Amino acid sequence: MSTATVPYGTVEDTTTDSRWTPVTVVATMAEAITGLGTNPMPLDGPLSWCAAQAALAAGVSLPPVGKEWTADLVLPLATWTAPPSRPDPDPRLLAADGQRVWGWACSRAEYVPVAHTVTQIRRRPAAAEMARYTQDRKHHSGLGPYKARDTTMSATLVQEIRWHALADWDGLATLLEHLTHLGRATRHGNGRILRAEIRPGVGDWTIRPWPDPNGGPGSIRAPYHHHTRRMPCSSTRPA
Amino acid sequence: MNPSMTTSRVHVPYLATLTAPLHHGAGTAGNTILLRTGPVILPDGRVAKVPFVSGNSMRHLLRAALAWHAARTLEIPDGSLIKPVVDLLWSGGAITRTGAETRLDILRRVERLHPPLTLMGYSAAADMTAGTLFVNYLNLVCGENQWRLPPTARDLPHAHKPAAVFRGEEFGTRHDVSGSPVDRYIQAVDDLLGATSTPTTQMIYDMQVLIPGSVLAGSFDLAASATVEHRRVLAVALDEVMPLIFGRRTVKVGAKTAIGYGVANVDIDLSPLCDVGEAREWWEQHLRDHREEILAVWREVVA
Repeated sequence: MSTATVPYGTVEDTTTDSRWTPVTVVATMAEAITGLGTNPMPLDGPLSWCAAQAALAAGVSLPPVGKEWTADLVLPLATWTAPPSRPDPDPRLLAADGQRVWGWACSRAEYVPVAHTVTQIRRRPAAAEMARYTQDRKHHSGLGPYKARDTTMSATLVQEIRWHALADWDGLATLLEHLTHLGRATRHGNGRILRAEIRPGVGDWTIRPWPDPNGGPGSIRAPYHHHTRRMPCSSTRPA
Repeated sequence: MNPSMTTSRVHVPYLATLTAPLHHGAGTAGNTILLRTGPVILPDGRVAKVPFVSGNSMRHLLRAALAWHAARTLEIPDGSLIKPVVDLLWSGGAITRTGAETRLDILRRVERLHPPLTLMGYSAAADMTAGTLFVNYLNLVCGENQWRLPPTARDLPHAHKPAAVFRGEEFGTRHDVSGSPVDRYIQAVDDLLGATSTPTTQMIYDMQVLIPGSVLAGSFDLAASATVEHRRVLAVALDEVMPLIFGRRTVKVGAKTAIGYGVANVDIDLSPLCDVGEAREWWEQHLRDHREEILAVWREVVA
């Protein structure tokens, strides 16, 4: 097991541990964030991507992101535990006590939307190149996987994104060096961050998705898109 | 050759000064082709809309440049590729089937043999692989954008003027042969064949542009997980789309570049990536040395 990943069944509630500092991360945005309206975007999501970048850059071999499971990367954040909100959680989601699930002590993204807009990504089929390099007689620009596309996605214009967390300041600063973009379609420049900084904590890190049997669809920890992290969630912190 | 990791992310900023009008389309209104604009929050909280060139557009320039460069270096014969491979190289490919398995072995071979695909990201069969390259928007250097410009652009006089100052309009015409010698020649044929002449109509169209002299600021971010090979290949791609002409790097961006639009002088420092000459030499040698393997892996990845 790599030191960059969290061993299964070892996590405990460390939210009262004095080694963690309450912090607020403030990201000043240069471009609109695609898909922000449908994503609570807790800090451990982007931070987990940063941890992967840091590990790969350091030559650490990470286990592949599989369809069945993907490993939890070590983050400089405290951890919480809570009762699972579905009866059959993947055992690898469970904390050290084998009963509760765990997650990272950080809030969802806090922001004031200034305007709502769209991100458009256009894909022109390489018809001229196909004419030259293939022997196909036709190319239909409106059908099939190679058709022309103009994908429109919702985007939100915000000045700042804020997260509150219980963190190790230096470890967090090191990981945030890798954070350049937020949201979807970032390889096309969307959600570009102008600067990200850490400030002494001024907010409530518990404003985030929590497992709740009466909640709606949600995910408890990074990577939030992975189906294994999904379970009913609400904003109410369980006992 | 095994891919070797770098240790930190790379940020490559650049400035593009237009020497010809630039058009980046956003549909039409009547005969006018509109300039694409995007919203930006001003420091006082109001929202303005300013022209820009999308990262999507810039990204395609790089992907297509690498594809053409590979086709040229490998001397790909006409008619020798299959459609999914052409789509993969020039457009990034597509998901063509479902599947629960990620083909890690192929991904590793792609990484080793043809790093442009893992630099830019691609989709093939049931796999979608994110690239290590972030291509940012090309933002107009103007008052509305001043707060988000790099220091090199923030002090330009352009950064203190509203975006409207840099907007203009150009027009084009389709030559009307009516009344010309060509028209009389066609008429003669029509008379001979007893055909009815098609009346020609003069066409004029106009487009909103950014005027020459406007400056745009853009950048590229390469994630820390990018390999040394990614850096080299990116340098070659940038050298392809921004060639040195009379000692200055020049790029053609936006639409209608075939009729002279979108030409810009570029100020960019590629040294944070690598030595461009060495990178080009390495990449072209790699392509030639692994020609058959590369052609095979292209077919395999889309299978």
